[in-house]
Amino acid sequence: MEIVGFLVMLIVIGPIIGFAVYFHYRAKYRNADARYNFEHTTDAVLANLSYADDYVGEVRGVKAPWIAGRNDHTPTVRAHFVKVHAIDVDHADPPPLLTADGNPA
Amino acid sequence: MGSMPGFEPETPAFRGKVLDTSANKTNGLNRCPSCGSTEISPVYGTYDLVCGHCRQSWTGTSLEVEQGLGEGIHALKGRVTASGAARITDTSTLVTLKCGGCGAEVVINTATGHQRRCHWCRQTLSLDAQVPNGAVPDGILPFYVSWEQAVGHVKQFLAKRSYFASDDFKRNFIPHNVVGVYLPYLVVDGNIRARLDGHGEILKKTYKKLFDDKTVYYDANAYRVYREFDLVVDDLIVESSSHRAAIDPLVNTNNVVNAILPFDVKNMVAFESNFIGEFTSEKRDLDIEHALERVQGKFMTLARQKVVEHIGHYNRGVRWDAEQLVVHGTRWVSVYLPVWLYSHYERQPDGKWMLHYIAVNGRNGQTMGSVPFQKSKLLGLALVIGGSTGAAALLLLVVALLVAATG
Repeated sequence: MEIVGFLVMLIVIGPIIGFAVYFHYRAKYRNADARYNFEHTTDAVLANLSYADDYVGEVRGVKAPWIAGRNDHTPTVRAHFVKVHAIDVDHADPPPLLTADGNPA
Repeated sequence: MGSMPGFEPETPAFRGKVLDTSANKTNGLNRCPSCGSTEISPVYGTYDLVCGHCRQSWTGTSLEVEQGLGEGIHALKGRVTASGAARITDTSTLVTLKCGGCGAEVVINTATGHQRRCHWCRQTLSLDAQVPNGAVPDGILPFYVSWEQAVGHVKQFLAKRSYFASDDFKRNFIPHNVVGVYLPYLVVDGNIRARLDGHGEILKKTYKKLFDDKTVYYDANAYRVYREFDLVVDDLIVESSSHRAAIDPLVNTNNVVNAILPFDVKNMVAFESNFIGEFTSEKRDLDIEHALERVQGKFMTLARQKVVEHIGHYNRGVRWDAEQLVVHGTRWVSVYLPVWLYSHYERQPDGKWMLHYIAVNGRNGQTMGSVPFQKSKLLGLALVIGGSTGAAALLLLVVALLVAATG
């Protein structure tokens, strides 16, 4: 009966293939998601790195292959908390950056 | 905890400084240094200008070298604004110049051009020094891709998108309408300190449970992670025309013009309206303040992108919970960049008009576009493929069931 299951799946997949064809060509003609990938082409040099990797515990028996809420590979999507100190605008002295606990770094 | 070596200690340099890029420039007659004629035009594909009267040619001044734009970014403090990126205080597009030849007053419409002939003595008047309406940039990058090459790029782009293209688009496609235009941009350098806080996980083992060989389970070590670092950003390019900066694929196709970035802005020359030649131009109408939020967001994105190589051991990924940025200093330069454009209006089913662009980078030929397509034709194909797959599967299913039933 495995063949029956496969064919039922094909019946269901048929409309999905139709949708996929439509959206594939729509994207090819409209290019609505095309943009300047500045994060890959702009010359930016990182230096004076300080860092910490503090062990907080073990995660056991999860079904997801990635950490929940993973966003390290989507740099254009902002994190939950964002703060910008634009000294070039307000001419103030540099404020301290904060740790995850909200204390001065 | 740890650290890695970086730049030399910062030396306070700039704060609210203005780079005057229009020094020694005047508005009016821009004469050939050899014969004094005003019949000057660009030499295509070069950084040269040539006199139409005596054929003397000379090379434009490199803005990068002249103003030292590639230097001292890590020492930027405060905001450095090139005079061409100064705040727009006059929204008028009309500028009146006094002809140095005959004394007549000539009006130039800066919305579309920077030169005009004096109607009395026929000499060409140029707008080369900055005026407060944003019309004169600091630099310009001359066209390198020719019209013939641009048309070739557009045709090549369309060749892969012709079958479903709307009949109206195909019927009205005229290569002659591929036109060159200089679009205004701001080029930004940044001296930044960034801090990212989040959590990362490193995989310990994977396993399956007894009586369940389909589900994979993961054990991992979890860490609280932070990275704090300096970031020196060189030549980030952002739109400075409100029309081009309004990127919303639901209502316009400005994103395809954005997609042909970047340009080799290191090679821009100091602005002279003679470089524009026969091309049109679009005036800058956005100030730095209008672009600040976009630029700060891009700085943040760059910080996130650059730190990727320093979190590679987190093979289950990192979730950044907090991003902080200190923008110590920025430098802003306005520039005209060369774009070949083909445009087509499409009437939408709701009666609104959508302007589709095909844009070609005037320096390297990179092409992107939006082509209106026949929805009915494409839907038909999707229905045929989807329906025939489903129908064939249904037929086979019936056959399989019959075979099973008969034995």
